[in-house]
Order: sequence, then C-alpha cells, then structure tokens
Amino acid sequence: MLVLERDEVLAELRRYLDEAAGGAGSLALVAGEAGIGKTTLVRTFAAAVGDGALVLAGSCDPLTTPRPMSPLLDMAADPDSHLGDVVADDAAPYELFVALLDRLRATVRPTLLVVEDIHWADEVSLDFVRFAGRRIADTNALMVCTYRDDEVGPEHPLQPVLGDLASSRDWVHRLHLEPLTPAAVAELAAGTEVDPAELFAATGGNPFFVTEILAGDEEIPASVADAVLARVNRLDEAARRIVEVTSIAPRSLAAEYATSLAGADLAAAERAVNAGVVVGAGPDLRFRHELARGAVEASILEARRIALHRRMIALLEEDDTPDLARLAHHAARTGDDALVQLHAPLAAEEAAVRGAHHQAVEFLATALEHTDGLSGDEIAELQLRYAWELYIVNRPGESVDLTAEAVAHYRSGSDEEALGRALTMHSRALWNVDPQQAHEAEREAIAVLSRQPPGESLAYALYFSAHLHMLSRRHEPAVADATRCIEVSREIESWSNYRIGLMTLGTAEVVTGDADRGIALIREAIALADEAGDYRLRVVALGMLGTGGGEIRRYDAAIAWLEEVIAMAERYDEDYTVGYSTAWLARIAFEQGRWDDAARLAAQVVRGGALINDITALGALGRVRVRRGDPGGAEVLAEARALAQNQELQHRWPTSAGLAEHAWLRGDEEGIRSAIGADFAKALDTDSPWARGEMGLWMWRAGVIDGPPGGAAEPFALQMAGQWKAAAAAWRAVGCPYDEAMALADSADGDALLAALEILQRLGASPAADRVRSKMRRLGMDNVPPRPRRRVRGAPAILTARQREVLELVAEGLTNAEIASRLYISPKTAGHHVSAVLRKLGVRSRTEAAAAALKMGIGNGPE
Amino acid sequence: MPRYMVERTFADGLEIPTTTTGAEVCLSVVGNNAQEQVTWVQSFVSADKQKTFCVYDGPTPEAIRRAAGLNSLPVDAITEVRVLDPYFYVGAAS
Repeated sequence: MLVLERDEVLAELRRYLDEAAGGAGSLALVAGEAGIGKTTLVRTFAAAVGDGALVLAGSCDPLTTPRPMSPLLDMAADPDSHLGDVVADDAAPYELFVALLDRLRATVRPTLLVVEDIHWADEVSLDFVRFAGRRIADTNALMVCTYRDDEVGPEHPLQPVLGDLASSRDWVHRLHLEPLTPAAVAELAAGTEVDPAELFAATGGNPFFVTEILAGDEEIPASVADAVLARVNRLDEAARRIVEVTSIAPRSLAAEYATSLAGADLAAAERAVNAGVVVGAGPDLRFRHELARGAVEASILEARRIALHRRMIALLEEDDTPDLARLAHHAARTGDDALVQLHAPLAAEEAAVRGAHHQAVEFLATALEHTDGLSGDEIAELQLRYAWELYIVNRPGESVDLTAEAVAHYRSGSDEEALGRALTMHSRALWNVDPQQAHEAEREAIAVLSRQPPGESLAYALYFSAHLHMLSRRHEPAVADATRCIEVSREIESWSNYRIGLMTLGTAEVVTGDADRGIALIREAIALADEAGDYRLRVVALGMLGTGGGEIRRYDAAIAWLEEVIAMAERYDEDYTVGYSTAWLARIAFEQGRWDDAARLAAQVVRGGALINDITALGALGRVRVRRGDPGGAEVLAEARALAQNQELQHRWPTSAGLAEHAWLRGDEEGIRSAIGADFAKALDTDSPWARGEMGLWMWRAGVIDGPPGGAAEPFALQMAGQWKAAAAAWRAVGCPYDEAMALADSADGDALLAALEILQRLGASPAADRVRSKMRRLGMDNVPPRPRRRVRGAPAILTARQREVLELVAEGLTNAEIASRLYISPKTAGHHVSAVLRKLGVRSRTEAAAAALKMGIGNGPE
Repeated sequence: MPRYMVERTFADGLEIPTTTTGAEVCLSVVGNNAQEQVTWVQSFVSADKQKTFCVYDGPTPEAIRRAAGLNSLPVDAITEVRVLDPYFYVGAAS
C-alpha cells in the first residue's frame, strides 16, 4: 500500500519507540478525522517495527453501547501477549491494569501498545488509557492511541481523559494527521483519467475518499458514501448480498456467517474481496474502513436491515460465549422490544460486573425504552436496577421519577419486600434533591420491610437511613438505625451490610458522640473488610476517619488517615477521593495556622470536580485570605457559599464562619448576622458540638446570645462563658494558634494581649493584630508594640537561584571545593559565588552567612 | 490578571545601589517573580527608604507572597487595585 506524506509522523513514532527501548516510555495520541489514515499509519508502523518490539493491539468498536474492555480482550487473545490468564481471571479492572503494566516493565524488548478508536471506548478501557498514560514513563513501552478528534466534543467521555493526560505530563505526545496535499493526490491519481485538481476539490485530501474514488470509475461522486456504493453496485447480486450482511456487523463478520446470512457461497465472498470492497482478515470479512461499512449499512432498506439484524442475533446466540454487548447492539437495531429485553439487561449485568457502570447505565436505558410486553413487576425491577447504576455513576437525581414510578407500582401490589427496596432506591435518588423527602421515604422503607422476616433489603435500608442521619448530624437516630442494621446483618449473616453498618455507627460516634469508641468501631470495620478483601470499604472508612477526625479537630490522627487515603486513591486513579482528602488537608492546615500549606493544598484541588471538594478547598483558601487581610477572601467564600446552597450543615458552616469573621474584622456587626444566616439555628438542630461552638461564637460576638449554647465544643464554650484563659489553654491543646490568640484577645489583661499579639504577628494575621493593638491603646497601655518591620542587613538579600543553592551548602558547612563538586562547577566559580553571597548579605564570614540563611529559611543548617 | 499594591517596611531602610550589583538584584527579583507568574510593575519608596509601595500583576495574593518569599522581601499588606487617573473622566460628561 502506498503511504504518502506520513514519513515525519512515522519517524517521530520511531523516535519514541527507541526512547522507550531505553526505559523512557511514552504515550502518543494520534488524532485525525475519519478516513485520514490512522489505522493505516499504525499498521505501517507496526509492520516496520517487526520483531523489534512486542506488539499488543486492540481496538474499540462502534457499538451502540461498547463492550467493556474490548481492546484489552483483543490484546489478551494474542498468545504472544501472555495476558490470557490475567484477563480470564475475572479480576477487578485495576488489578488487571496493574498486572498489564507490570508486564510492560518486565519485558526485554520494548512493547508497542496500540489502542485504536478510543473515541468509541467503554468506561473501563478509558480508565485503562488514563491509568497506563499516567504511569507509562517508567516502562519500556510506547502506547499509541488513535481517535477521531472531530467526534470528541466537550461532553464526550474521552475529553477529561485527554485533558488530564496532555496537560501536565511531558511524556504524552499529541500528533495530528493532516489531509494529503494536492501534490500527493496528484501522485495517487497518476496513470488514471481522473483530474487531480477535481479529485482534490472533491475529497479535501482525505485519503480514504481519494482511494475509494480512484478504485471506482472515472466519475467523481458527491460523497464518500456515494463512492463506496458505486463500487458495491458493480458487484453481482450474490457478492453484493455478502457485502450487505457484512455491513450489519459492527466490526467484522465470520465468512461462514456471511455466506449463511446472505444465502450465497464462498465464491461470492471471494469476488467481493477481489473487487476490493471488503477484505479478508483470517476467517473474517471486514470493510476497509468504518466509513464504508456505515455507508453500506445505511443504504439497506430498513425492513431488510432489521431482518438481517434479527438473523445475526440468531447466529450469535449459537456461540458458546456470546458477545453480550454485540447482541444488545443488534437487538437495539431491530427495535424489537422482546429482543432488547432478552439481551440488553444481560449486557448491563456483564458491564456492571466488569466495572463499566456507564455502559451498564446505557444498556438499562435502552432496555427501558423497549418495555412492550413486560409485566409491571418486570418494568419496576428494571427501573430499580437502572436507579442503582445511576447512583454508582453519581447521577442519582436522574432516577427520581423512575423510582417514584416503581414505588407507585409496588404500592398497588402485595410484594412488600419489593416495595421496601423501591422506597430505599427512591430515597437515594432524592437525597441531593430533597433531603426531607429522602428521610421520609427511607423511614417508610424500614417500616414496610420490618413487617417481613429480616433480609438483605432491610439491612441495607437500615444502613442507608443511619447514613442519612449521620450526614445530618442527628446522633440518636443514626446510632439506633446503625445498631439495628448491625443486629439484622449478623442475624442473616450478611457480612457486607454488617461492615457498612459498623462503619456508619462508628462515624456517627466520631462526629456527634464518643469519638474514641467511634474510631475503634471504624477500625474494626476496616479489619473485617481487609479479611474479606473488600478494598472499597477500606478507602471509604479511612475517609470517614480522616474527615470525621478533622471535623472534631483531632489533627494528627486525621492528617495520617487522610494521607493514607490519598496514597491508596492515587494508586487507583480515584481523583474525586484524592481531591476531597486534599481539600480536607487544606482545611486542617488552615485551622492549625499553617496558611502557606493551606493555600498550596487548596490550589491542588482540581476545580469543577465534586461539589464538596470545591466547597471545602475554597472555604479553606477564603478563610486564609480573610485572616491575612489579603484580597479575594470574601469573593472566594461567597463562591463556596453558593456551591453549598443545598448541602448539609457541615459543608456550610465553615464558610459562614469565614464570612462572619470577615465582617467582624471590618467592624461590621450587622454583617456577622447576615453571614451566619440560618446556620446557627440549624446547628442547634443538630448534635454536632463543633457546629454549635463555631456558629455560637459568632452569635455571641454579634451580641445575639450571652453565653454558650448547650453541647458546644469545649474551647468555644469556655470562650463564650468569658473564661478566656481556660479557653486559650484549650485552644492550645487542640493546636489552633489563631483561636488561642483570639481567646487571649477577649481579655483586658495586658500580658494576655501582648501574648495574643505575638502569636498573631507570627502568623501574619494583620487585621486581627491591628484590632488587638487598638484595644491595647484604648485600654491605655503604653507599651503597644508597633507593626513589625523586617530587619535586613545591607541590601535586601536578593540572591539568584544559584546563589541560594550555594548559600544552602555554605550553611551546611561545606568548603568551596566541596560546593564545587556538589554543583559540578569549578572551585574558582564556587568561590566567586560565595563572595557574591557574602557581599549581598552584607556579612563578613561564612558563619554569619549561615546564620542569615537560617533566618531567611534557606537550608536546614549544618548536617 | 489582577493588579496588587504591596506595602513593605524595611527597618534599616531599603538599599539598592545604582551599580552592577543593584542591577543584578533587580533582575534576580524579576526572575524569581516569573516562577510564580508575578510581574513587578513599579515601586514607590518613601523618602526615608523605610516603606515601599510596590505594584504587581499576579494571579493570586498567594503567588505574590510566594514570590516575595523567593526574594526574601517582607509583605505588610496586599490590596487589589485598579488605576485611577485625574484625566480619566475628562470628556465623559460631554
């Protein structure tokens, strides 16, 4: 095959493969429009590589809903890949990815990993592309992925993967295939009667279109479809039928199926191949290009097309291990409800088991569009399954109406177990939309299910109800439901429900009850989960420990748990979990007075991810700015507040406190009240001591209340009771220096105010420090320290980066010779740098320079 | 990108000599700022050289602070500002 104008791209790929052979793997994303020759490029490259690399290839198919892991299954089918056992193992997707990646590290030859047409990829395959793309740099593999960039719009599932991979990774290369130039088109047209200029005008240089036209007769048709059909129509009838039935299959069709479906013989198939309309690929027939296949399929009379899809289903069903996604695809194309009902739900189940939940959602949606002939019960069951999958892909709100229908259906019947389940699903759908209604639905679910002998549905309903109460920070109901969940689960030996019941009970105790007991309970749940190989629960439970621990201000433990969650979640690319945990670390850093860290961590949280990630990160950043007196604090807090409109109190109160603080520091008492709004009343309605404390403090400062509300957390309560000394000590014990200073500043004691000022100045809390200074003057104190001024010797010590490096080594006690060898420079150059540093710092000796370095925060001092 | 006014106080007075060293110092400030996408636009220095008011363009106040850290410069206060000029409004009323 003549391949024109691809030399540069091929050379580039060759370079990347050579680098991979040297241990520096990379990912090449090859984009281009349909027909531009992506497959041709990849095949040419693979052929040129020959034995120089292990080639693993797979592609994604244009199914209505793709088959999970299709390209990986392709690769595993190749015996050279030695992946057969890993895939067959039914392992969870990430275990499969890890195993695959380990293989890529272990080979002696470099590996060329090809995944074609990823714009058609299923969810699990997309996860694989992202997983491998992030980690490929330290393997000796070159991964090449092709896709149609003109089909990937802003909402396309591939978009976030592309964005993530391309942005911050310099081992990801983006290549774009261009159409042929007029010169190349002319070269191809040489020796034919076709006018090159007309040919270029008609095709725009699209290689597939060009070759189709050149293979036909001299007339230039209006479109690619016309060109393809013109060739097909020149075949005899039997060969044409072969071509038509082949077009029904999304990728390729076994020749024996083709002859059977077409009622023709192999000779007819040969004629079709010889005419170049289809190609033979082993025992299969295939079109040269998806464009050709699509054109032929569309040209078939609809009634006949549907009949062919039906017959295809009949043939595929005879297979030992039928491709369920493909069956569902053909069924959907027939529009026959009974066929869809037969195949789509099974395909959904397979997808769910493989972790391709977005595909499971699609299959079930298809099934729900074809419900003729189904009983009410069957429809309701489909609706509930669909709702379950929607919850997993985080779109629960979409199932509100469907679950309501299922509930209505079961209410009119006598199957109470099903009614209970439907109510639980309905409650889950309602949670983000109307929490009050969600609670009611769940209460009814439990009531209904309690009339039956206990089963899984009751255990789960009790867990979910406990979970909702815990989220609302209502202690008694949460504990009651969680305890009952544990009892029922133990009784029916449902250990997964037992574990989540235990975890929920523990979480409720941590945030609104006996924290030590709660921590022990969650740890127990984790231990059980580890025994049972339930990795999911470990991550969720650690997250509860980290965020719950953070909320009750047990900082050291919370930080350790959150860091563990992040380490685990990063291994499995769980970006949402990494984001939320990082946002919490930002919040904790803020509360501990580590404001640079807080700002840095908040900035790491990717915006536009989960709502609570943004709310928590923006809250921390906004509060830091408010305390420092930096611009942009109130704006950021207002944004967080808007995002948190429909969220639980624990996501709202930090923002309200921040806005109240901002108003207070400006002397705007009215502003404090409007910042808190209804959140104080809400806090009293919950059992959270820290919510009551923090909201109460601002109402106290605004003069609305005289003393601490009942059940407020100790440091806050002491402050509101006027016991500033005990409050400051309590804050110091917790580890919140700013709050400690503000408690001291409540007093009228000179020494306390001085101590407060010292802390605030150290933190850089200018507005609060100014307030304290004013207070000291008002009290008639005459030793009020002025604003701090930096003492800098000589010129401000503004060093170049190299000079800073040198200073760091000087501070470690290294000689010029040692510095020279460390930095790979000559001793003379090192000496020049040291002199420059001493001069800029205005010091005369290395010792003085070392002291200055320490003050500037450069280096760690002598080793 | 927002514009900020940064106030700094130097107890011993700011000393940047009009020599090669001084020029080096200024350029190294510019270089360090670039790491944080911060641009030093202009500074105003008090007569006793103890206070400066520095105009910067930068993405966030935190970037301003980090750049100041790289340059070992103090930060007293950061305010977001816009330019106002006596002649802006001339012609607006007509």
